[in-house]
Amino acid sequence: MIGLLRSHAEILRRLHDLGVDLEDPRPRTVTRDQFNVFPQMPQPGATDALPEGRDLSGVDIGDDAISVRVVGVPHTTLVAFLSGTCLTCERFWDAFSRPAELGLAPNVRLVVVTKSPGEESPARISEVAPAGIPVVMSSEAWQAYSVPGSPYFVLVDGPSGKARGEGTGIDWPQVRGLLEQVADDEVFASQLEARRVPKPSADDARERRVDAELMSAGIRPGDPSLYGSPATGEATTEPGTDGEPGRRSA
Amino acid sequence: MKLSAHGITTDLPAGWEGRITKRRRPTVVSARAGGPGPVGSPEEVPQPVVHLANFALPEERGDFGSGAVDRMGSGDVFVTLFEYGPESVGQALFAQQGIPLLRPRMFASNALQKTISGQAGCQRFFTVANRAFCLYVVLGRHREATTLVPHANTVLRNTRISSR
Repeated sequence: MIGLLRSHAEILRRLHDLGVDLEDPRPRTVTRDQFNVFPQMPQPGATDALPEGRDLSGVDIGDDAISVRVVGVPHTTLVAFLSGTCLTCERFWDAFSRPAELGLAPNVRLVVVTKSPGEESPARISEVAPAGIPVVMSSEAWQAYSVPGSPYFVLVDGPSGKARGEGTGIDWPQVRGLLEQVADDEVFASQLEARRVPKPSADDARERRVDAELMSAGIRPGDPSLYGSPATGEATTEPGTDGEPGRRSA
Repeated sequence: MKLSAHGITTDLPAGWEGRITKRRRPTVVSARAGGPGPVGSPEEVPQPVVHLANFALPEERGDFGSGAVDRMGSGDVFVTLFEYGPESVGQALFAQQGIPLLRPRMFASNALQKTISGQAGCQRFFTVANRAFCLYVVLGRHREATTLVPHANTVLRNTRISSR
């Protein structure tokens, strides 16, 4: 028992050294330097700003020329930065071999980008490249999008040319979940204004009347009597009519 | 956006994308219907094919745009430059020198490789740098030819073909 308590105390001491206060109920935040990801996942970029969308140009697995327009197009492009050698990427190559099962929205075009043939094996990419999905081999694209490692995904809005989101995941369902989150957030933001409930006119009229009565009594905004605890004999609170909140009178 | 391969270079205007490809040489096995690998006959020597479009090109396309033209909208333009083998150079069909520029009245619905309602096509043969080509252009909507043909000509003016 003593040994158990001693180890528990040691755990608490080490947590304290790490800055964890078990008494503090607030959520703990970490700085970018403290943030770590699983070993097989790329670290986030050095900046919080989303990258600008860039058109993609390079060679394909047959060393032919390919250019894919990302900016100024009516659709959204999901740019998937993959490698032929990373283990996590294999899950994505496999998922992309069945495009019909990806569950992408009809207006989303999937484009895979690997590094250029000098840094990536075209033979290996030709083994895993899915039919029906453009594969652009371009190290320049990796630099332009500030890709920290593979796998990595950037969702670019075609009409504006702005990135709508970026990130990574351990498999396609996780990345698809991120995409759905981006879409849900955008819908939520666009509907936020419409969701605002206008203040009932009765509430508005009541506030105006109370303000007018306070003003006529010489109580203006910022008056100390509006905030302090009423001392006995200085002020009384009368119940309002019709269940209204009580009003303060001098 | 520049695109260059197989001695063909083009500078695409905004909104356009493209491919310059050369199919893998088919084998006897792959030439069979449904067989894996490059399609075509085992005797053929694949030549470069250029596909340029102001819409998202699907990856599975025929040499003359089947699979792509089916997706065209009214404002879309599809351009193919299909090279023929050296045996075609000097033949009367390819007598015109230089990449031709187009006029709206050159387009007709009966010039389409695959008839799609509302679309119009145009086909011209020519020789550049001792290389024989067919230019095939499809407009998404024939009625908008006066608007769309200048876009095609812009792309053609920006295209250069050098000798092998």
